[in-house]
Amino acid sequence: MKNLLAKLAVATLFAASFASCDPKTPTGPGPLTLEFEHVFGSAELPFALNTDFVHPMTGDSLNFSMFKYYVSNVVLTAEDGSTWAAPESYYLVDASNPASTLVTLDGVPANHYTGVSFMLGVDSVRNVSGAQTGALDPANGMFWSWNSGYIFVKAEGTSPQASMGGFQFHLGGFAAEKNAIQSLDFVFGNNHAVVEEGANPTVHMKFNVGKLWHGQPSVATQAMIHMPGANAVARMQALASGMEFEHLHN
Amino acid sequence: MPRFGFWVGAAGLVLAASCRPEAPKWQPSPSVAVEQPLHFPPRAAWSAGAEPSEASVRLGELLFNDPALSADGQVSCASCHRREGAFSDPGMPVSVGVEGRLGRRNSPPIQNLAWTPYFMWDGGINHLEVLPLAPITNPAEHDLSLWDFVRRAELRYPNELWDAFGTDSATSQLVMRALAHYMMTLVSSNAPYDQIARGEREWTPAELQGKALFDAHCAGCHAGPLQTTWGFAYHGTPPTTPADSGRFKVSLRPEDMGLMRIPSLRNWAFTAPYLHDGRFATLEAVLVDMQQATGTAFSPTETSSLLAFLGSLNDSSYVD
Repeated sequence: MKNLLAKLAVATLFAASFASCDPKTPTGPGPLTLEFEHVFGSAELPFALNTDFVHPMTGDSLNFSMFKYYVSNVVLTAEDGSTWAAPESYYLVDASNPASTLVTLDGVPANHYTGVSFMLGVDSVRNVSGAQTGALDPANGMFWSWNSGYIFVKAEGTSPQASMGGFQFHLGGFAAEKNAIQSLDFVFGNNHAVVEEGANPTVHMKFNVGKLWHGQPSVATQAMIHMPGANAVARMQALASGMEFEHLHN
Repeated sequence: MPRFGFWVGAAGLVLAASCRPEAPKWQPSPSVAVEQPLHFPPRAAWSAGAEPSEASVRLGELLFNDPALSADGQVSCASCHRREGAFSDPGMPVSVGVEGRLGRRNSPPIQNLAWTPYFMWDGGINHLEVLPLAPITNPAEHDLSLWDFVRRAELRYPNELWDAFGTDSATSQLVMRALAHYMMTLVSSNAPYDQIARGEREWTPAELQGKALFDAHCAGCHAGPLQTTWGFAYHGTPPTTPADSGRFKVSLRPEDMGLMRIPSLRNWAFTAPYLHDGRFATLEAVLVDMQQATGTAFSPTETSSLLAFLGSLNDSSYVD
């Protein structure tokens, strides 16, 4: 009897190991990378700091010394309709730090993913919950000391059209009419991101920095935003329209 | 089977014994309860998750009193928040920071912060843990980057940091949390007002007459056991163009131009001068200004009974 049971157990294990090798059922979890490529203007020129750009709508000459922003609350949608929310997903993407433009989500359950959503900014809860750490560490310079809350986007640089010779947009705000959080949803189309052990699909996002001035005033009339309010909300909405899903590869 | 269990157990004992001389294991320090005076309102919402411990409070107190945590090594939190002034800066309309630079607004007392829903004269700060950011980085106060502050704290207090949080690498979160924990323990609840609330003594006739005047003329703004609605107001007659935009700077609402947070009146005897710019050296001057603005006129007897009531708000045990 004992012997028979042992044989049965071995046979079951054997069968199970075969099932898990079936390519149609991915096993996981595995990683998935979001890659943020920065471009500028309708020509989609490769964006870089310390480089001259001319904005096609305002005609402003712009040279950025800083461009960084928060991406948070990443959620993946699978083809079966289920969703997976990346835990503690707060990322500070900084144009001066190429490594930060690759956001790797670890421990993603094996599945075929059809879309991604995330916030450009930081959810209201973390804006009111005291000292945070990691990407949200106030020492990263993305938190207003005198008016508690995260700076979602910092864009700074020089421009001959600005009366002070430069522009500084510090955009944020989470409360009521000052809420500048941008919740963005993207669908991948026909191609699915296949997450499984040993794979590392990359979802390539294209972010057009020039959209900061899309339907927004030239630096000649508005060169400084340093607090939450209507100006910050409008700039955040304009900028968020520049985030696009470009392609993905498995 | 029992024999197998015995050998596993024995092996475990051997392993445990051989591991003992390794790194000491951190033990959480005993928690510190922030007492809730029965006549106080419920604690402020932000304080819900705060769990001060003996070690985190000790670290916070060391950081609070250490002038090395400033750009010129001369300014600590305690420089402008002195115990003898109920942790305000008595005698100073505005305070002096690094390199002798002057601040912009009067240094308020630090007391009963667990019951304070937001901070600063303009109410711009929403959580005690992020409050230290402002004075640390303000060029007229400590004038340090937050990184600098954290590194200095880590170098100076490695043992206290370990005791408090079980790590020897500081983050701004841990350092500011320790400061918040220390400040939360600064509770003033033993003024005659509190003793009366606890039934330990009675109002004097003068205090009682003053209390009636206070309730009629002042308690609309200075309400409850902490004498504030936590609203924003202009003290006296608002000028057309206030020198300090106050609450407007945070809210951007035109009606908030020049308004400041309504302060608690506790421990006023130790915190002169008064108002956000320290313009009044005495409480009598504040009362005169208030009467002019509201068209009230107190008789000398009324003024002295009002002062008798206000005197009951001073907790001398807090400033020892």
